[in-house]
Formats: sequence, structure tokens, C-alpha cells
Amino acid sequence: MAGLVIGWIRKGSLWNMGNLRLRVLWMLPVPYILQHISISYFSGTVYEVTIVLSYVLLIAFCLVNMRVPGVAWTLAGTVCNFVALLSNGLRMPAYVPAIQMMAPQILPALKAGHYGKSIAMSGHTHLNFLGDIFAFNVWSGSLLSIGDVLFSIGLIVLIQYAMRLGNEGLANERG
Amino acid sequence: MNGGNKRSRAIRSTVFALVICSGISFWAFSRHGALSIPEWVVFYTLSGLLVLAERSRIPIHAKADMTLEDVYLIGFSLAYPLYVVAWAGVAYALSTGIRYGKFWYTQVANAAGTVAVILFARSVYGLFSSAPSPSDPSWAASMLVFTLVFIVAHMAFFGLHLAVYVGMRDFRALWKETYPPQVLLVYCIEILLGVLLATVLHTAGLAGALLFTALVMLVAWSYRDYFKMARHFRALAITDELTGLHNHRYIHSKIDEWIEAKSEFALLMLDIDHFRRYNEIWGHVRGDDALRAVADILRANLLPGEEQARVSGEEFMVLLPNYDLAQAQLKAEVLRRAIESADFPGADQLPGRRMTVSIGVARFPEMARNKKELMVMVDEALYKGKFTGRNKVSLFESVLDEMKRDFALDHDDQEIIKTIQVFLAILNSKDRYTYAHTERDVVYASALAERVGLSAERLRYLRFGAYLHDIGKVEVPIEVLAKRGPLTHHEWQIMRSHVEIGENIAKPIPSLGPCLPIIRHHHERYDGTGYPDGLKGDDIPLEARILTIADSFDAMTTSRPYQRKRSMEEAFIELRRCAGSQFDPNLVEPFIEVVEEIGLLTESHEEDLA
Repeated sequence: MAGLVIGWIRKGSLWNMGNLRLRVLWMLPVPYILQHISISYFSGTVYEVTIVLSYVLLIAFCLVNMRVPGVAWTLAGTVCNFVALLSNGLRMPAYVPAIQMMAPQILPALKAGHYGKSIAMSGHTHLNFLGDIFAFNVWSGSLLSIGDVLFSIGLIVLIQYAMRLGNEGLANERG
Repeated sequence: MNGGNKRSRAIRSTVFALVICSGISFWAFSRHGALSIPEWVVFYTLSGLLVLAERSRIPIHAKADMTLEDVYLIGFSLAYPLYVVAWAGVAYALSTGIRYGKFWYTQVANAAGTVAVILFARSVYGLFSSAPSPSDPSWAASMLVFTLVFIVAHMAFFGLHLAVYVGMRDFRALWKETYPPQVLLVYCIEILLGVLLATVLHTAGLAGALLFTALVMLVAWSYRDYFKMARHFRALAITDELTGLHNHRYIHSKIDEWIEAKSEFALLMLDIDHFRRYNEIWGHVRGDDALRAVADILRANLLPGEEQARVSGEEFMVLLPNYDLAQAQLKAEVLRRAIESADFPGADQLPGRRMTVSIGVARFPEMARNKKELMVMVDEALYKGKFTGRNKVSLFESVLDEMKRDFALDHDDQEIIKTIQVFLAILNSKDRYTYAHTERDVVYASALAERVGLSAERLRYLRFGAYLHDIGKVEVPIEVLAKRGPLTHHEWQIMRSHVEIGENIAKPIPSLGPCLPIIRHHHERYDGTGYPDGLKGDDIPLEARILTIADSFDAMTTSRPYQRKRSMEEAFIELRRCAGSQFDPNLVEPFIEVVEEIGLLTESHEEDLA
């Protein structure tokens, strides 16, 4: 959203986004579908394999498109999240007081085991500072990790870049 | 600067940057080991905001920008534990350094230094106030302490950094440039905003920081637009649109500035010769191209410290700081030659077959006491060049200055000379023709006098006499001077009186005594029918006879409202015809010879002098 607004302020247009050339764009939806499926339906080894696969695909996609502005940010964010997941048995530690504030109804599930991808943060979870610790209460309450924040920044940069692609000025700058 | 010096500068700065960073880290680590999760959130937020803020500097004043990083650091240091701020500061310093590539150490040192300064100021503040809230009675006093410590430490740190980076030698100049007095204003704004941010953080937490950022960014964004606009208009106001040089307004304000500062400088006034004709032949579009080309030549010859501008149509001005007259003349000569030797399409249709400029030179403060006098001087110099052949560099040195030098004049005489100068200026403003005509008469008459072997002493008086011979015309009304039709009897009376008036003007100066007959008798005729005394033959002083020929010849070869100008040959015929009646027959042939040598001083297109 912010990307769209900033892009518009900087005289971009939605139509210009068609000019953006991303390699292996078809690959992009795959990790998201995989994650969604695995979190909702899978457990055990299948869950682990699909999660790892989805992150590897996402990181590969970012690496292939590194030169596009913003992608470096999304890569950094993805890697942060992936590292946090790997060090905690492929679950994301979530900061308990924040959950209590944002969505107290899921707390029991979290305490019992896991809720979706998340587990409760404690002294036993590792690299807690990469976990879900940012509490945003903008639309619906959501808990973000630093990786998510970096990923969003990358997306904002990317979108506004794409929106300004067709502009004369930018073309001159680059030419 | 050589490579070794550069490398040692890089090494010094790198060490400096690393020392500060590790110093801060060590200090933070010793204060507190690990961060709790909420502290991590603060850490992320602050370092993120700092990185974001580093990209946008907010202009407060034309000479001083504000950095939002200071504001964030101050605000967070007042609201959160210092070790969190320290870690975030180090993270910010290192991560923004990446963007500077090879010069990463300057940014790292600057950023980490700012962090260190604020940590220090906050620690000192902590000694005085334990409750950092504006409602606390001791708050104002301790805030003042914070402000003072911050400013002093900031300046001290950046002074140190500057010294490490550039060395002591260039330190002074750079310090002045980096710290104009407006910086104090910036400091105060930063601290107030920081306090505001701290208050917001206390009540609203980190969400308050986002709110604050959004507000400041939006304000800064619109403010920046105004600044851009102001800069744009400022540039427009001092730029000449056509040539891209500065304009009349700019150069005049510079002259005012320099005169105000009592600095010495020379002034060149350039005027393109026959430019009106060029425009008439080729059209104004090509004319504009030519102006641009001349401006490019000027620009290519601009040295640091000099100023130049296009002041009107085809006139340019150049200011030369600390040049003496000889240097200024040399510079003018360089410009004149550069323009003369440049190729202008279609310039072969011009009288000289080339595009040329005439340049007048004047200097402050010897030649003028104020700007007005200086402008008059340089203008006179330029027109002197214009009237005596163009494509030359001329100095305004009137024969009067020569008189001042040559004669040991007492104070009264000096005053009279000044009066005469005023008369000449008035005459010049009334009738440019008379003035230019005088300049040419001096040249013709001295040439003839040399040819007939006049002694140096008499030659000098002849020059002064020739210079002053028409000074009496100052009393002749302009209607009579510039009248197109034939003069009435009464008007003739007035016109003829100028020789006597002129004599009376010069009479009070004893040293000009020998010039008086020249002034009085330059309208006598050889056959005795001239005025005012009707002298005949050799009774007329030789100098006056010489001047009569020069004067008449120049009158014949220039166009006047009431007469068609003659060519040189036609004028020679006329001179020969009148030999013995109007002119001394023994002087006519020598005069024709010298004129053939020096050529005609007037040109074919008198009318486009302006």
C-alpha cells in the first residue's frame, strides 16, 4: 500500500508496473501457496519439507532478481525469517506479551504447542530478536518479525520503482 | 594532493571511525549485557529511523541543514536506556557507511561521533535530572545543561574529526565554512524537536515515533519544495536567460558589495562592435547565437574570483578583483583577441570582416570614489574606444589626468581641473559627438604637429588645447548644438561665442596659459575672415592653425545632422581647395600625408555606435 502511495506521489503510474522485468516471475506464487498449504494442512516431516522448500524458492527468486531495486531488502528479510525458523525447529517464536495484547484468544493454542507457524517465545527458543516481536495494530492486529519489516520495505521500494519505470525522467537518468 | 597523503588521510580517518565505534560498543556492553525483547524492538525502530533519516537532510537555512538523526538520538536517549540507543547508533553508523562506498569511514565517523556526543550530553544531563519530564522543576535547568554540553561536545568532536581528516593546515577555512552562525539555530531546533519526540515516546511509545516521523517528513517535504522554489527564483533573479551568464542585477550588487568592502578591483565593460548591423543582416535569432558564443568565450576565460555578466543588449561586464590597471588591460586584451579570432558565421558582412569587441577599463578606488563615478569612467573609456576605431581596449585616462600629473598644480588649480572635468562630462552628456570629436582631434593634431617638428613642450600644450578647445560649447544650448537645419543669425552668435567662453573657463589656471590662444583661435581662417579676432596668416598661432585643419577634417569626415559625411579623398580635395583661404597652405600637404598613414579614425557606420 505504502509503495503504491509513494509511487503515485513520485508521479508514477500503475500501468508502468507492466514494464517491470522480473526473471522467473512464475516462480513467485509457488512459495506462498506451499506455505499456505503446509501451515494449514501439513504437519511433521511434510510440513518441514514444504516450509524449507518454500523459503529456498523465495530466496532463489530474490537472488535471481538481485539487481532490481528493493529485492535486496526482501532477500535480507527472507533470510532473517528463515534463520529464525531454522534455529527453532521451523517455528517462529512470537513474543508472548505482544500476543496477549493483540490476540489473546490464540494464546492457549500457542502455549500448548503451536499456532500456525508460531510458537511461544521463551528462554528455550533461539535468536529471539529475529522472532515476531513487532506489534502492529493498524488494520487487524498483526505480529511481525524484523524479517517481515525488511521484506515490506523491499516491497515498498520495488513497487514504487516499478510504478515510475515508464517515466521519461527515469529513462533519462538511466540512459 | 598526492596519493600518499590521500592514503594517510584514509588510514587516519578509518582508525578514528573504528575507535569511536568500538568505544561506544564497549561502553554499551559494559553497561548492560543482552537486550530484552522490548529493547530489541526499540533497537530496530531507532536504527531503522536513523537509516531512513540519514537519507533526508532538512534545509533550515541557505547555509545550514538539519539532520533528523540528531533529533531521533536526542529523543530516544531521553526516553530509553542509553545502551539501547548506543547499540542502535553503532548499527546505524555501520550500515549507512556501506552506502558511501570507498569513503565509508567518513560517514561512520560522523554518525558514530554524533551518537557519542549525544550519549555524553545525555549522561551529563542524567547527573542533574533524574525525572526527564518537562513538568519537573529542575527540568529546564538540566535541559539547558544538556543543550550546552551537546553544542560544545558536537563542535569539539567535529572540530577534531575535521582536524584528523584534513590536517591542521586547511582546518580554519573549513571550520568557518562548516560552522556558520546559523548552525546554532539548527542545534536549537534539533534539541527542541528531540524533547518533543521524547515526550511523545513517553506517552505513546514507539507508535508515537512513527507518528512523529510521518509529521516531520511531511513538513520537511513541503518545506523542501519551498526551498527549491526559493533557490530556483534566486538563480533566475541573477541569471541572464539568453547567455546563462549572470545579469545586470547580480553584477551591480557585486560592485556595491566590493565598493562597500573597500576592496580594490578593475572593471571591464565590453561592447560588441556593429552588433546592431549584425542583427539587421542576419536577424535576431543569429544575433542571439552570436551573443551566446561571445558569452561562451568569456566563460572560458573566467578565472576563480572574477565575476562577469551580460548587462544589456550586447554589453558585458567583467569584475577583476585586485587587478591593477596593467593586469586588467592585459586581461581585456586577452578577451578582445579571443573574440576577434573566434569564428562567427556571417561576420564577414561586418565592416571589419570579423566580430570584434571594444573594451573599456576602469579601476576602483583610484579612478572613482563611488559606483556612479566608476560606471561613468568605464563608459567613457568604452566610448573612447568606440570613437577611435573600435576593436580595442581603452583606458579612461583623460588628458586632464595627464595635466594633473605633468604640472605641479596647487590646490586651487586642482579644483579648477575638477570643474573642467565636470564641464567635459556635461558636454559629453549633452553631445556625445563633440566629445568623440575632441578625442580624434587630439590624435590628428598631435600627428600633424609631430610631422611639422613642433617641440615636445609645445606639442604637450597643443594636446591639452585640442582637448579643451570645444569646452566652451558647454554653454551652448543643446538645441543649437544638435540643430538639424541652418542656424539663425542669433544662433550663430551663440555658437561662435564658444571659443571665448572656453578661453574664460581655462583662464584661471596659470599653467594652462599657453593653451588659451589655441582655444581662442581655432576658428580663425588663414585669409582673416574667421572669428573671434579675424587674425590673418602667420598672426594665428601655429598650434591653432594645426588644430583648425584637424578639426575641420574630422568635421568633414563625420556625419552630422546638418551635413553629409565625406570620404577621405573628398575631404582631401576640400582641404586642398581651401588651402590658403581657410587653412595654412604649408600645413595641408603634411596633414594629408599623416592622415594617409594613420588612416581615418571615424568609421563607415557612425550611426550604430550605441
